[in-house]
Amino acid sequence: MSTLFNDYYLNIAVMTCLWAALSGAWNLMAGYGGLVSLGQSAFFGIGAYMTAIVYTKYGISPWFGLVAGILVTTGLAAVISWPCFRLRGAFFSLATLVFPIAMEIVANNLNDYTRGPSGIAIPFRPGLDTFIFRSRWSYLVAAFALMMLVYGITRWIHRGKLGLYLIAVRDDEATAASMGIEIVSVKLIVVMISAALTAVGGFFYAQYILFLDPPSVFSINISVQIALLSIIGGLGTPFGPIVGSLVMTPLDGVLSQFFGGGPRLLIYGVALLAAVLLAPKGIVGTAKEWRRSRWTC
Amino acid sequence: MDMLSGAVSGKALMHASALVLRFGGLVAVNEVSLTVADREIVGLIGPNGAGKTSLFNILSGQMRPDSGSIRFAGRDLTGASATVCARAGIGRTFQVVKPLGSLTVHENVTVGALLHHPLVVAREIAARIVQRVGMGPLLQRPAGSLTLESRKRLELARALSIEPKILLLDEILAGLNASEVNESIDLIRSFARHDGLAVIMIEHNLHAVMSLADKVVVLDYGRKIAEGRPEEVVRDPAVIAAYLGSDG
Amino acid sequence: MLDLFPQLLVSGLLIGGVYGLLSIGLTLIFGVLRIVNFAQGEFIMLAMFGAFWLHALFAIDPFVSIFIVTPLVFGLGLLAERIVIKPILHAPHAMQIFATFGLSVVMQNIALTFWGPDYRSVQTSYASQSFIVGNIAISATSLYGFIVAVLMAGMLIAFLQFSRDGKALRAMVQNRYAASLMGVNTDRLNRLAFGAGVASAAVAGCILTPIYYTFPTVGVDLIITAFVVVVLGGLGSVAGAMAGGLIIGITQTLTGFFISVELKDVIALVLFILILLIRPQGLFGRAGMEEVGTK
Repeated sequence: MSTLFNDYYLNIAVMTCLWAALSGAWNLMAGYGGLVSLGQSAFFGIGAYMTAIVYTKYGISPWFGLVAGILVTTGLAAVISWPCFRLRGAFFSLATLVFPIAMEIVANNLNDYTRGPSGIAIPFRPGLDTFIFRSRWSYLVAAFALMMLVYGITRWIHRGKLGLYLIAVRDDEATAASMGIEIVSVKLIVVMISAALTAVGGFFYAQYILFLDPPSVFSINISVQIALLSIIGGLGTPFGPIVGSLVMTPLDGVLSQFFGGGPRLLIYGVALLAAVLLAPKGIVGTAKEWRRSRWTC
Repeated sequence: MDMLSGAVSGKALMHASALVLRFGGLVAVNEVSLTVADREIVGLIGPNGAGKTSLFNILSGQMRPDSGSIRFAGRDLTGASATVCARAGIGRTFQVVKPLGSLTVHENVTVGALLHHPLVVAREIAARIVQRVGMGPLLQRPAGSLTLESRKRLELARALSIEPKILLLDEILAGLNASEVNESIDLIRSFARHDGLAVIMIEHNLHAVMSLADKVVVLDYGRKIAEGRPEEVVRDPAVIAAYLGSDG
Repeated sequence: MLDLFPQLLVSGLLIGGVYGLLSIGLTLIFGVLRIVNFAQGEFIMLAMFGAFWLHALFAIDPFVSIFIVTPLVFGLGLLAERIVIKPILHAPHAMQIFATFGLSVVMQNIALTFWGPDYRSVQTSYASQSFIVGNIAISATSLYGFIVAVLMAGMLIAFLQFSRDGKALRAMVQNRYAASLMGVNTDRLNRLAFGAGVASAAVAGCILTPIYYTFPTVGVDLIITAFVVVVLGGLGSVAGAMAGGLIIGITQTLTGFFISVELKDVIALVLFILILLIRPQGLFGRAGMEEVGTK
């Protein structure tokens, strides 16, 4: 009985770290770069599928799938986003909506590789080479490491050259250009980093849940959740996604006990609206403002 | 006061030739040619709507001319993008001052300094520039919270941070009171002399233009109608007519 | 095979008219408020459900239910504008996106919670009727839909062209700041534009009900199509949206027949990328409009 309980909490802990990592990857693009992608689930799904296909179809260690996933998502991200950069603000976001839909269609139809709508089940063969573990604790360590990796990268970008350039491009492209910033390069770099980190999350998900099908990994709800966590926690801050996940993921665990899909997502939607309308700076952002206002008399 | 020939080193830093810019049916810039020598301060004046800002937009790469050419520091920059122009050494302030609001004053200027320096060095250089424009105490202030005068100083600091060879100042004195204007004039003169910058300044403040400029160019309805020493240009009847308007 | 071409052309044209109508709202809202209404598809979905229930419960024909559903959706739009849109008009882009995006999530899941995920369809008495012209069969439902769509679009264009409010709206599309300086009540007109934008979506929804399936996430498919149409036609151009709709409708139908049914769904996405690469301002848009932020 106690192991079951532990298992439940451990799972929540693992998912909290995973969501924080995914949201953190999105935060780089959207919070710092102002490129509000609504299609992160495409990268997530590709990462997951690459891992699963490489392992189940070819028998190669999923670590290669990880590398493949990173390469494919980074390449695709660069190619797809480049023509979209000339769209500003919301139109860029609308364009990103298209990508996961297209990927879901591809996944549903490339039956030879993806087994179509029935999805791929990954056989349980524990080992470091397969990145499958008997104990949830191992997964927790890995998820935590991923979360810290994303946090670390964000901190490094935060007020470094890339971070300053991103914020300049986000705030005012004309001014950024007049200061010699190569706008397209800056945007491409952040999109590729974001895509790669999200693909890693997909790799983790595949080897953790051991099952994936097109709707579960390409769903728009993943994109909604990722965005929600950063907004609630604090968009454009390194700690925001972590705070957001710490608040929302356990809550989601509780909610899913009582509510099914529709009502639960409804609550998410309302939470998103409330965050946007009432506390757009998120928890971290509002705390920083409050602290700053105490300095001035 | 430097004589025109004294300030000019004899070599053209920027040479714009027969630039034309059209907006639909309107010709904003009509066959304008302009030469700026090394370390020369050029005043660009003319009534509102004469095409001065449009000319700046062409020179600094925000807009592409429909015809004409631009040579700068030995390179052909005709139609080059704003980024390329900035990297080539053309610095610019904007008429509507928009600092990068999410960043502090220091960070705003660091962004420009990063063009030629790594982060740590860029930060130091930026701090020094901020000091030189007289905004030392405001170093860590968020740029969005500044007064107009401070924002104009910041705009100047930002333009300087990319270590340009030429500075395009678009009405940098507008909205400032008399003492602020005088401070800014001194500032511009010191930068031009000590850093060896050429300057083109769009100004309505004729006193400032008279005291700073080696040469004045006058635009009206997109065409250049006069060019020469400030004292001469101000007495040119065509120039007077342009400012007073043809409706006597 | 090629003699099917006229038939396909006509079918494409008919559905294209409806696409145009559902895109007009999007382009109007963007033109006036500079906001992309991510919930546009959901207003269509609500209208579709409205028409569905009116038909299922009271046997009201979908085309008749336009008169009931549209004012209701218009009212809902006014409410949404007040609560969700107005507060974020000058907020950073990300917040604007998530305001309407959040609204769409809420609306989708209200529908999902109350009506379930099942696909519904409406069979009108004349559903299988068609008019034969030469060797072309024109489905009655599609034809009526097309006529209503064109009528509605025409009314909107006339309103924008000739009425006082319409002219003010057009002024706002051109230059918000100048319009407000000239005494235009931008606040009231924002509300009007948003309401009109979702109302035209509602009409499109009612038209689609007998043609398409009705389900809570139908808005997601439709908004992608609407977006492609808007980009093709040109942002802010109502006539462009109509033209774009017709082109997309024809392209989809031809692709679906000559190439593959699967590709029919994807073709819109492919077209979208192509437009971006070749002519981002669309057919009737002004160059640079797709790069417009909040001004």
